[in-house]
Amino acid sequence: MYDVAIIGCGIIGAATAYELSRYDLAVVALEAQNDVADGTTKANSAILHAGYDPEPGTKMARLNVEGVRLAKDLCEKLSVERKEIGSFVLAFTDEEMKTVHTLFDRGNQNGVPGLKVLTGDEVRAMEPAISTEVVGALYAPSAAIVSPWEFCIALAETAVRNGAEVRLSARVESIEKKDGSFLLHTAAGDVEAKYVVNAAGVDADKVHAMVGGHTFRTLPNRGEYFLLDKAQGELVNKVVFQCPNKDGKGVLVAPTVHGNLIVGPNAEGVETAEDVNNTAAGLAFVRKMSVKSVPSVNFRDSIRNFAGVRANSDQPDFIIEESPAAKGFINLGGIKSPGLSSAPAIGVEAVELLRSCGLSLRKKETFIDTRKRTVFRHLSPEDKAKLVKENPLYGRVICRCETVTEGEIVEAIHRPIVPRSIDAIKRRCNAGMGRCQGGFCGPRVHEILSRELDLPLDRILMDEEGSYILTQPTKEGK
Amino acid sequence: MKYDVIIIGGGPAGLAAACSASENGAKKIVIIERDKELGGILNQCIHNGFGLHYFKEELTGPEYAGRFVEMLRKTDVEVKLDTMVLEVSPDKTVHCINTKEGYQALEGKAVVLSMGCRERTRGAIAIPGDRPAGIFTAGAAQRYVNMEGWMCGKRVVILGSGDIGLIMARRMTLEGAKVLACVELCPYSNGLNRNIVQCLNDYDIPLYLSHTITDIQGKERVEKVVVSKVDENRAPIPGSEIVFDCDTWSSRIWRPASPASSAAATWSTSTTWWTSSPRKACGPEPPPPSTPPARKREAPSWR
Repeated sequence: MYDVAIIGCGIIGAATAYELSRYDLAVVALEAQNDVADGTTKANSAILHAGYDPEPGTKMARLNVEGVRLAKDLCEKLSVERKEIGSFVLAFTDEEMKTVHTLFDRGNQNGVPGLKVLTGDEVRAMEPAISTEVVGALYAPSAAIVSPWEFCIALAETAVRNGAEVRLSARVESIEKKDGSFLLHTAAGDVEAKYVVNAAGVDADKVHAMVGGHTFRTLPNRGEYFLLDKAQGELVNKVVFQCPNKDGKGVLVAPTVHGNLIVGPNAEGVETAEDVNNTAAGLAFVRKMSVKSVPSVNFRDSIRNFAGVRANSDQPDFIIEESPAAKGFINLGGIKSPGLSSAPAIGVEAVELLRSCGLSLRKKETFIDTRKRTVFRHLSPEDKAKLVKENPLYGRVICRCETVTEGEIVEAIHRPIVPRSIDAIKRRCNAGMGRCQGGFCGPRVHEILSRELDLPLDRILMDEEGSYILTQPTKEGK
Repeated sequence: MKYDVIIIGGGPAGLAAACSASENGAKKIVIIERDKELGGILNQCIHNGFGLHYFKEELTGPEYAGRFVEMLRKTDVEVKLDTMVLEVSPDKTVHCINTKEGYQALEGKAVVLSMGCRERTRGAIAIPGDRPAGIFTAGAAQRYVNMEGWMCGKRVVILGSGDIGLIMARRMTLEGAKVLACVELCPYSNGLNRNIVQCLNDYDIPLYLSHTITDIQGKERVEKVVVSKVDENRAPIPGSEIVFDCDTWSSRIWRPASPASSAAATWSTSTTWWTSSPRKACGPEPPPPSTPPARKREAPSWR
């Protein structure tokens, strides 16, 4: 019997697992996919928002500002790439300048530090690539960019190192309410827990319905993106938003922590969490809107398109509650933007909610709160030389676009949550993220996974279950 | 210890550069190659047709590379295998690493950049749809089939009709895959006429000119692709869609390996290929395969 079962191991589930792992508790996170961070967490704008968007007084406002404050320290401790580069919200008309002033006031009420309203010329002095049509902007110095999947992986790994369990490929199929506990039937066997935290993202309403709860409905909303080559990575140095509308924060242009340029998203209601396909219309819209902000974006340098689905809901705010349908069942639902920014604070909030529901919390005597990760390309020549001497595998570069060594890949495979696919390696050490998109390193990462996991080549997947790569040996290969 | 010439990349260009530098009197020459053997991409090009001009005979890619390696053996050229260059500084110091010698900074009087090129991928051409497994660059598929001994698809369609795509169509067919179509955006093929004849026509693989991929479907693995006819501006024509059941596709568009050489960059071929089969119920009858009006071009000797 577990004390707490967390359903879903995206950024929200992982932040909750991390916070719970501080205490003497039996905790398990049940993830439907074969890796953590595999839903909305891996496909979004990768921004830690400053916190001027949400209406003052909402959970979103409070948790956003608190979340990005916590993220600063967490990313430092857990070796997550994060850069506090600041953001602009651009105005193209006097009408939009009114929105900028509204956001400025809202931000001040929400406690966002350092906000300023700038003129168009002041904006272009800081960011020369921005359109001459811009008449002014809100500047928020505390906005940051982050690697969202790395953030989730770091939190989940740290939870595991502190005794929590993460079960992959364990989709929850049904839940039985028992006397004082829940019996969860999952694809990886039954799990019994006294408390359940529903962090199932876009599927949170369906999971809530398993215990008879219907307080909210998720309205999946897709956003499509371009990722551009590093040749475009320094086109802007800050996150460049347009004025928000009812569907989201508009199309942004921003550098990523990995040195690329991200452009997107649009916003389109879709049926399910699985609707992450790109569309010609969506991509065309993103292109058109982005060059309004930054006319010189060169889409010939695109290396990847992707899409993610926002866990929007029929409620105006995040749903963070004990289910009225089941005592001891906590909903963390409708975690739309700024969900990534709020995640660390939502984790803390979830623990407090569990405490108020009767979970007794006793801090562990020792809590591992650091995580080291070798990033070869960030080392000085002296440190590179030293590392290769200590372990020759760091002397073999596998991904040449991103300079990722065999040592880093082997290290990633032997971390607490074992990556079993080529994309899982990509999320852990960037191999395959560059301009050739794994064209060269894919087969080599494939071989390393096969060797280290002792699995035949045809059992190694590209990403999710079913994403097989090889079909059969060649005539000579038999 | 200063090298006269440091050559980065031990593929055909690097090998030829090393032989030539040696012949012309350079004394201390080194080739830095990231793979475990010399030859570069030639090693996975197991088809013949190489060396027609230079050696006056038909060789396979590995044989052609082997000739150069033999020539190199008679010189004093040093070779560093399994070695990656991390940086070339303005004073022509080449920083590189390998597992045996660790981190090294080699000084050169001259540096030759012969790192070949990279394939651009689906993301570079913004083809919409799902993002399942089964999407390969032609180079990656060629590596799996010719070097690893594994097939990566059973039913294949190729987008683009450059030479490597055409050659892989034949290769996959010989390995038992069904190549259902070769789809080319341009109204003409970029491939050599002999490759169109020997790789497509001889195996009854239809070539759809002025067509492109407009959608990819499949959650985990490619299941279907949609091909549309394009107008004279290369814009897909609505209503011309053909739906194929499939499990793989891949692309082949080149870009230079180094930002340093990007000034000289031109795209030479654009080939994408995938496995599929026509589904009559889902679209109009596929147009009849076109007779390829191949452009006149002399075969470079390494084709």
